[in-house]
Amino acid sequence: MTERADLLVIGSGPGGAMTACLAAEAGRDVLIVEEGAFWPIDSAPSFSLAEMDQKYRNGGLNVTFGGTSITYLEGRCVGGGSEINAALYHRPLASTLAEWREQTDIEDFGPDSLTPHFEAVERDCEVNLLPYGNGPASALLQRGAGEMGWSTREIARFWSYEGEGPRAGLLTGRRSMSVTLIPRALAAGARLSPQTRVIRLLRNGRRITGAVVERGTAEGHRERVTIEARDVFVCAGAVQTPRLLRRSGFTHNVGNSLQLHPMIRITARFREDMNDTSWGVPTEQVDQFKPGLTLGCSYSSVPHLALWMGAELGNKRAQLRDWKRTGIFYVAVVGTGLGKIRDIPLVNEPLVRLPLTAADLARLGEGLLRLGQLLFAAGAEALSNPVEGGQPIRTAAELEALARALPQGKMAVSTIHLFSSVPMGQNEAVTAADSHGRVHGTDNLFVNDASLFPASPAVNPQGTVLAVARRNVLHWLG
Amino acid sequence: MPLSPLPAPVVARLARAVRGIAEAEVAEELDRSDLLGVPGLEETAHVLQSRLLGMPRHFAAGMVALTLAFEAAGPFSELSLDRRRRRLARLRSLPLGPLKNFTTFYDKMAPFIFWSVLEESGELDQVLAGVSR
Repeated sequence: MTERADLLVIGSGPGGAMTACLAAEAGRDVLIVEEGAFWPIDSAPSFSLAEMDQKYRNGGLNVTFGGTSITYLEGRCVGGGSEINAALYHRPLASTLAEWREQTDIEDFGPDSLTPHFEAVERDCEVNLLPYGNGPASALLQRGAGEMGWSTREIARFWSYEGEGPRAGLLTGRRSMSVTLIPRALAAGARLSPQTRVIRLLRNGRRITGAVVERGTAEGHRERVTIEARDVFVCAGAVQTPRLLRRSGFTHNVGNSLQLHPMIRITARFREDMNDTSWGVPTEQVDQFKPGLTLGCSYSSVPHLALWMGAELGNKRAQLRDWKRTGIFYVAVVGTGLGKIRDIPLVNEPLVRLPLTAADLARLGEGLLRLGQLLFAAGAEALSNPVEGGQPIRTAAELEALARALPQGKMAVSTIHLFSSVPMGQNEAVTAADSHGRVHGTDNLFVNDASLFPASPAVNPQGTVLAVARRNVLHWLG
Repeated sequence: MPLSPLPAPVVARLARAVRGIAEAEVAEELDRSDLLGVPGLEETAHVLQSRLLGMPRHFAAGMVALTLAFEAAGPFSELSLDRRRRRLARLRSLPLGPLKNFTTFYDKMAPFIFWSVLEESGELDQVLAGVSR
């Protein structure tokens, strides 16, 4: 079976949704293929077991290999990562974008040229601050930072808080791709093919002629389909995009430079109630140490508390019973390790090797020290120990000793921010794609997702993915 | 990609093994020697097994093999809860990499799934109220 499209967009996360939406609205015949299924935004509560089953690749159980295994999350559904992340929105610092430009020689790129794209993203994807102030966990973070003399800031989200009352939309207002750009693309005539996995791209010299895909049928079978396309955008995320390129024969600087934001989480127990899950994700972050180090709080339901408390059970049982006095807090840093992505023969799985470097451990240690200081200043009685088998931390001295020597391989480290595996720029010695995402050596194969970032954006990346994708697809449209 | 379908006898054996481990992990979580009247156990074991089989195949294969081997010694699922908890505790103390991955998976996922199941069924507060201090 053969199908045709002007433009084939592979992946429906932020990069793919932006690409498909603008191309379709410009009158192009667009086909979006997505490996995962379409799930309505309200099909499962955020961060629930059901959501993990529906929308996460492998239920969220993906890990890197290296001295410390890092659990990484990927969306695998229509809307991709935008359906499962915290939906926090940032513009990167101007200095970060300028460094990217210099690092790989990106043409027509920088804070000024990207500003209109960020403004469009903020408008079209409903980036909003809380309308009636912040919840108790954020207030606690503010209080602790205030005691330390550090600044904090509420981070805007891709979220709608419309409705009656001060809690309107807090748990249900996510403005992910499945409710923003994908419907716009479909309204403009784009076609969407969920549960469709791309086997490989088809190539004739410098031109990509389409792709071979495997699609789920209504009868529960899989069928192979050839899709012929004039142009192809691969927007499958920082792990799946380089995998597809490599198995299609594109290997130059592809999948050799994956970067991420390693994150560790601890729980902290307070004397008074501070955890109210009806506020959803706490949106306050400590600004003081950015870029490079971010401190904040996470959604802290009982199941998540149980997940992150570690094995110090005496402490854990008490915390679970008094869960409203306990919250999950995180340290995220800009990682320095470069990862390689390869396919494991025969099993059709990626092998992601990425070292957690000594510099990363030192940064995580510094972050843990500062986070602990803040939490004690805010009134914490005890902190969980992120090291396997470690005892709860109750004093500044215990905190300092732990932070000085975080051990390799004995902590739960995770991330949902992955990027830089197909870097863009004019310097072909270090990049895989040109300044607007066209893969070197091809006329019509483009990448348009976080893979393109030359380095870390040092902030939650979804806003930057959307702005860069908008810039690139408008360039392609001319 | 999930692990390919396993033969029925292997699936049945695996289900017993996972149920045995899930019960031991929940008993540890609640610090109890019996689980009489504790809701959500069957669902927890079922979801835990689907998580195990839904892991990337290169991880799932090893984890399934270890789980079956663990069950074979005992059989684990037929031991008393206290003996199961002690056996898991001994395993946690061993420094071997694959065994560490094995215990980390069950130590993390079983409690997360158990409390998630109770949260979904509305029985969380009732069980939390019974958690010993």
